Parts: sequence; C-alpha cells; structure tokens
Amino acid sequence: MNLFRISVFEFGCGQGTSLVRQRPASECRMPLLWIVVPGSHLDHKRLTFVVEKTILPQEKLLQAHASDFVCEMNDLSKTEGDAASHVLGMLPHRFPFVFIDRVLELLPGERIVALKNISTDEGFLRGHSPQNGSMPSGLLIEGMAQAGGVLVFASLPDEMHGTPVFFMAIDHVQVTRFPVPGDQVIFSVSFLKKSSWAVKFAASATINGSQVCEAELTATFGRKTGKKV
Amino acid sequence: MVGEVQFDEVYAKVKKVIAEVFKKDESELTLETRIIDDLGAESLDIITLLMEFEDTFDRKIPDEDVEKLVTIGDTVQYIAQILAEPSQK
Repeated sequence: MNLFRISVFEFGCGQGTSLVRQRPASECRMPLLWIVVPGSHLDHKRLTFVVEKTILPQEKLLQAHASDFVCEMNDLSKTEGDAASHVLGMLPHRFPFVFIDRVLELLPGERIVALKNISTDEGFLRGHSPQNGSMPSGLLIEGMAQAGGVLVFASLPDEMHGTPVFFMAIDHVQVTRFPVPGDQVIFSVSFLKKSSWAVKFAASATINGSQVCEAELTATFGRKTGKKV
Repeated sequence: MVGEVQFDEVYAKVKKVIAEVFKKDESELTLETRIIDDLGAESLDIITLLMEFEDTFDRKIPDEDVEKLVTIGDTVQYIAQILAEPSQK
C-alpha cells in the first residue's frame, strides 16, 4: 500500500492539470474527483489518503472517483458540496464576508486555487458605484487573503490546529480590472515564505485567464508555539 | 562556542536582512545598534524580521528567545549559537 499526493479539482472550471484538460467537455460536470499524483504523502491528516494500488494507469486515473480510494479520515466527505464546505469551514469568516465560493485545488504546504462567482445580488454592488457596480479592489484582495487563509489552515501541523491567523501585510499590489456581475474570479495563492512567526504568499486573481490583480500577502499567527508550518 | 568565521558570516546576513526590512544602508548598522530603540521597530517589523531570520537561517526562533534579541550583536550571537546546535527540524 503506497501513499500518494492528492489534488482536489472540480471539472469544468478550467483549472488543473493536463488530465483535466484531456477530458471531453461532456464530462466536465462530474462531481469532485481526487486526482492522484505520485509523491510523498501530505502531512495534514484530513487530506491524506491511502491509495490501494501502487500506480494507477492513466486511463484508470481519468475515470477514477473518490470511491476508488480509501479515505482515512471520516470528516472529509466524498461529495463535492460537503468537501467544499469542509475546507471553507476552516475560515472564521461567515456570510456576508466570505469571498470564496469554492476551493478548486488545495495542496497543503504549497498552493490553493479557489473561485468566486460575482452575481448581481452581491451586497457590495449596492454601495460600490451603483450605476456600474463592480467588486471593490479591497474585497478582491480579501478574497485572495481568504484563499490564503484556507491554505494556511490546511497546512498547519496538528499541534497548531485552532491557531488564529491574521492578515498582516500587503505588498506590491496591482489591480488592473474590477470584477463585475457574471465574472468568475479565480484566486491562486502559493507560499513564498513559511516560518513559525508568519507566512508570505504570492497571490493573483484572474478572470477568463487574464490576470486582474496580484499581490504579496503576509499573515501572522495569533499565538506562538514555535512550530514551523 | 561560536567560531569567528561563523559569527562574521551570520553578522553579514543579519545586517543584510535588517537593512532590507528597515530600508537602511548596511554601513549604518553596527553590533551595538538596538533593534527597537535605534531602528524604531514596531510589532510588524519584529514579526517580519523573525520570519526573514527563520527563512534565511532555516532555524526556528521560539517566543521565549525573542526578548534576548535587543541589539544586532545579541541577534548575531543568538543565531550563531543555534546554528552551532543540531537542527531541531
């Protein structure tokens, strides 16, 4: 029995590996699928799976469902909705201040990809230039920070679970376009630096493949345990 | 016991990190420079500094040791000392 690194994707969102892109469009609304990438296993138990086969052939991998793998932890559901709410539940934020709809990809210790669909009934549209409603850049950055927050929570060692994480600094911000209703914003956040005191991320937001915002974000921990992330 | 070579290497790296964080010229920094009193470090600067030190030297700096880092000299001495110890990672 070998351990593999797992990425979580939702098809149809234009993200992910060539495996996703190889799939016919008709299959692009499948439920969440666990894509297996050979590598060392993840430290974070909630995202550690045990694969019963040594190596899955590519055809098998393309059709693999969560049920093909043995999930070691009971708290991560195999259904799309539950899995998404599980990872988003790591954030302390709640409506109306959650700016991530779904996590598309999560590699603890490395990176996260999340999305936000901008609808016409977003609360901020009522007060942010009502004639030409758009998502304010501050909230765009908040969305990137929340994606980073999920990444940090998913990357914390067991001893640090429950540690509050605070958004500390923003550097090198560039906003080139404000999202408007109908846009699907994809947040991509990856670690630049990790320490027991703070973490630094490279973050970007894209719409239809075009970057609309980028920044470097820093977050710090609410209490110290001296454990490295 | 911290060797002279290691101390000098650590001093050079510590000065570089501090100069970048506080936007100072390295020539302005000495072993006697006090991080809070002379450089005006605030909480954000301290955390940034600790993150940069951990990243640069690949060692953890626990809470209880932070108060030892008053001057640049204290910091260099402390880091050279933990580098001489076996890694706890």
